[in-house]
Amino acid sequence: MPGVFKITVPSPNFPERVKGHLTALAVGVREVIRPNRMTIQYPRERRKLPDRFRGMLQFDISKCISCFQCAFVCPANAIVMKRGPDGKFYPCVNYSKCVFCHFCADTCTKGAWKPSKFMDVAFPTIEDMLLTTEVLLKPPKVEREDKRTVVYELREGDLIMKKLPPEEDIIGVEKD
Amino acid sequence: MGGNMLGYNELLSMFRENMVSIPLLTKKVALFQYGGNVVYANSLVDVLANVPLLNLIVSAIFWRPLFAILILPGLTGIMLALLYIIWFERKLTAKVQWRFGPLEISRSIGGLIQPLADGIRYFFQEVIVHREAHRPHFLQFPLLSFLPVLLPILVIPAGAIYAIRTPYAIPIAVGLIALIPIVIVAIGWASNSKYAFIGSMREVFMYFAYEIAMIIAAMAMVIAYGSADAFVIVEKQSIVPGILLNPFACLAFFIATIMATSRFPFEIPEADQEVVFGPFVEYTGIIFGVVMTLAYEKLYLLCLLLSILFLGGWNGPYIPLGDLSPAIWLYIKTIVLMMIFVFFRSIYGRYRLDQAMRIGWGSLLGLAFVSLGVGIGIACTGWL
Repeated sequence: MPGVFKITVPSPNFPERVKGHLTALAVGVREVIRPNRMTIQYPRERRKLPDRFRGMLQFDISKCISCFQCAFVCPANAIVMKRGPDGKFYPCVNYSKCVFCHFCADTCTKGAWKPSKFMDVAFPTIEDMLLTTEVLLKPPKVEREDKRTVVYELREGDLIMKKLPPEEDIIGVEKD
Repeated sequence: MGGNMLGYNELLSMFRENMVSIPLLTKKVALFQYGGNVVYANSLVDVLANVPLLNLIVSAIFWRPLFAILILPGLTGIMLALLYIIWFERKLTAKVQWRFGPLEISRSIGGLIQPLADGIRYFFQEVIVHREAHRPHFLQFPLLSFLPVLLPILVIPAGAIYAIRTPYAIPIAVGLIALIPIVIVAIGWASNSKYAFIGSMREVFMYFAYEIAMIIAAMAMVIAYGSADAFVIVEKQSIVPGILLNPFACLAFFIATIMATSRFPFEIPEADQEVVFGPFVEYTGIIFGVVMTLAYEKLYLLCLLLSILFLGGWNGPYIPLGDLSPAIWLYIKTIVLMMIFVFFRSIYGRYRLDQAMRIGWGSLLGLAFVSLGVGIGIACTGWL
């Protein structure tokens, strides 16, 4: 009958079964002798992030024209505008709400918002997650423990892990 | 004091007459000759011979039966094997699965003391007894499980270190080891929960599937050697080990051991993904630590039996440690066997219960009967 598939349970005979067991054992032994490990040992190793990675936001106050576009577009309402000492409005980011969509960076007409690769951030309290404009302008405090950078590569169809020396610039703000 | 009671000195001399002979600990060592006199280094027992109470404790520890139970094939050996084999299993499985396994505690030695750290954590965790459990049985069965674990050590000798020498050693050991699943089923019953009940039912089914084949395979070797005394069995393997003599019995005993200790691919009673550790699902704290190691302790005992029956027991080149030499050889063989058994976790999936039952009652039982035939053939031809 066309269009009807019958799936039969594979029933290997005795030599095939033995061969299957031996193959499994051989694979296991090979992996024990030459393990192809994929784990990144995080504080000591970091993964090399892609160039367009959406991490923490960097703000350049000299380019900001107080157009409110970032605050309008923010889907999580993480950005609020507050009046600064010069009378203009500047954004504040609440990272407890931010979803790292980077719509603010996309919509900024003057390029005042810059994406960075900096993503593993710790805040002591939830109040500290609201970054006011003054805090946004300060460069983040970086503590590094990494000795290597890890890159995944495809070689002959197999995924392999390459270990490189650590990256110089961990914040990695996008250049103009 | 009653008339028949042993006094302090009688007890001390009883211990000292039957001590394990280890250089520097219980036996003095000749250092050099000086003018026709041999100068000896005193042993620990001799040094402490006149210290009250301490001499009794030390000579009791080195008393042959107690040494067998407490130190080498017994409790200390089991604990060291547990600490090592749990770490080894996690590390090996991690390697095959492209991970690192336990590493953060003691990075320089590859996380070797991770099981010890886990044990300390178990000690300080709360032991929760849920409302539905049968409280006395829930708490007593994990502790009672040490009885069938430690009793077989009485009759399993390690060279000169033994507790009881009996011509029925192998049947007694197999019979006592077969009590462990009863404890597990009782634990599942006392837990009084759905998953524990399913797990203990699976344990019962598996128990029937492997136990008959295992006993037949062991008895095949007993028939072939013509004795169930472990000393005779090991002596007869001094040239040809049992694995070459009767490979069918070895294979049947091997597969039955995998089933008995619920290693992969027969890890059915404790299946984590299906019944979340089966009979032990309700346990917490140190009591969970005790029941979790039950399968490993059983594995240790069955590997002891496997190496005595098939791998020449304590035969091996002499290590200059006195009576410890054969015991160390037996221990090394046991540990290597345990390492092979835990390796299967990393390469096999899990059989369904009905598939495992079919293997147990079908091909495994057939293999055991073939091995029984071979054993009877060896006994009839009288090769040994």
